[in-house]
Amino acid sequence: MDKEKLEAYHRENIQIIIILLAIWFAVSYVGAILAQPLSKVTVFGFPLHYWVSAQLSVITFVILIFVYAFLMNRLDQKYGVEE
Amino acid sequence: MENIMGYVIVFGIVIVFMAIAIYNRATEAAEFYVAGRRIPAFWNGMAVAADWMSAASFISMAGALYALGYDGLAYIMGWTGGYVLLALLIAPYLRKFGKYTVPDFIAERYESQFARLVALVTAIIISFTYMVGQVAGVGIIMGRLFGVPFELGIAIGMIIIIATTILGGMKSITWTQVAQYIVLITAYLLPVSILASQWFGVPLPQFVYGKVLENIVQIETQMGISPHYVEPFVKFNMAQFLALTFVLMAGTAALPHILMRFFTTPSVRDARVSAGWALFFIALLYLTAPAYAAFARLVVLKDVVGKPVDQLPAWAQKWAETGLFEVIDKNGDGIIQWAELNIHRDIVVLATPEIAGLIAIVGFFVMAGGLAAALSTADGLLLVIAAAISNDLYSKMIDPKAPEKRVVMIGKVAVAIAGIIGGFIAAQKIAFIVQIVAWAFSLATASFFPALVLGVFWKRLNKEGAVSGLVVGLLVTIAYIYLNKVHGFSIAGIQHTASGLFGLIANLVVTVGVSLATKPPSEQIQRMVEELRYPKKIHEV
Repeated sequence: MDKEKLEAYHRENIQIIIILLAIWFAVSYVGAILAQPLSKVTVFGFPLHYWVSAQLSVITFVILIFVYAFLMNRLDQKYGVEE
Repeated sequence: MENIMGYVIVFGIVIVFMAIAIYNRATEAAEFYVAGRRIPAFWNGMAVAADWMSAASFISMAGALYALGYDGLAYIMGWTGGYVLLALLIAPYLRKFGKYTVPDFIAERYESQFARLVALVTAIIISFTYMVGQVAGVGIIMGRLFGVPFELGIAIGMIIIIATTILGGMKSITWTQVAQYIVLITAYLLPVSILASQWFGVPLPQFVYGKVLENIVQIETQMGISPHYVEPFVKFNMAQFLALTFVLMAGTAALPHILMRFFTTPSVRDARVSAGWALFFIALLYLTAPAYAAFARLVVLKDVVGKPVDQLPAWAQKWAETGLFEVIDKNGDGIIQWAELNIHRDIVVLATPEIAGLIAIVGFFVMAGGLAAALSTADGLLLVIAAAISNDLYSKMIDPKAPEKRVVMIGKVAVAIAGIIGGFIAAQKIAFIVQIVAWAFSLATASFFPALVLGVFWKRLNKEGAVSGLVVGLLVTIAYIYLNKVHGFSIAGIQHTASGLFGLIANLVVTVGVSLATKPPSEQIQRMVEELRYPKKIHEV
């Protein structure tokens, strides 16, 4: 296979990882750092900081993994590196 | 009568687990270590969830949240967020690598049998102590359920665990873990869902406990309990909260018994999807645990606090007999105050069926769920130990020419021996073991996590860098644990439970520094690292 194409595939993979990990970082760590100010707000009956750490983060993690699998499986086909 | 029903439920379920294991016997290496790489993504995800969720997740976590309030969410985020790291940075690449164990990868990537030895010893220490914790959990549940002595409970549990693992290794534990997941998740969701529908008319505790939190804060403010339940950074300061969350995540992503399960999928594509299913099935429990905690907290505030000492509700009276629920009327006024309650963390899950007024059989079913959680985790851990001894130590280091059948046989003997030793140690009730389990995440963060992630993404990383980083990372972690635990030393208030953060930093500095100061790895290794990136075979290695 052509070397440039293989490297482009790897670069796109890294880009996807960086974007998804930025979201991962935001819902968990940034959410926790902002816990004090967020606690003043209520959503669905929950204090917002509690909701972010107990639910938003966990649900986002599940979605991120499926999105990664979807994007990578598509990328594999685009570059013809699927099994 | 009730006791008989309990026996019937638990023995029925155990017989099903055993039947599945007997049906899935195996003697070949590929079957024993990686179930022939034929496990579909969905089912592997379910098996990972059972492998992951331990007796502590099932029985104690909700109780920890009850006690820790917002700060306890570090555990919820840590033990779920780690799967994002695992799915994006480790699992698909290890699947492409395609051997049997994590030490296999470390040894080949770093061209070093010494690295294999460090990896296999670390894997055994982490898995063994973690397993002892599970076995002790089985003993406790058996004791509560049947009133059998702790030691006998451990013996029965150990026989089940050893038999499941010995019969077919990964092949037999995969399908028993699937069955165990179904039992444990049903047992976990059932009582709290019924309680939610009694209180709110909706059987979805995960969505309605916001109202409960509001109520708790109101009542606690009135009673002058301060800081209240959802106040952040009370038990941990912010640095400790963030550090602990990170260490739990990185440790989760690098625990050998979880990673090994990703060797079992048919393809890289399936490994990626499988991680999604794994976290989905895990999230069902982790989204529910805070609801358990909130419901229990409200019940205690409403039905126990402020009541006369001799008028405990029926469920509390029952648990008071076991010593897990204790009221000490310190000021002697005959009224229960918040500060006079001493509640064991296991109560939160175990007492919920009675709080909801459910028939006793539901309580037994919950116990069976806890049993399934403990057994399924212990199986996976025992397999890591067996694989480390038979595949890594014996077949790859001592006798590379050994026939496959003999290697698998040695694996089975290792299962039996490690299981029996684990049972004996669990029977001693050594508090130290619980402590080591808490450190397992720090040790994995400081050792396996960088060795795996950098090993995949940094081609230039060589043997000298990786091995010295691994050793320094472990030493710094252990030193921080010692200094914090014994001498009270700390940086930014970070406790020994998150010591892996410092181990990781030290590891990274040493790994990068030493690697750049020494020669790059061989052409062959660099090609192997490139090869990991693509699901399809690219190079003719």
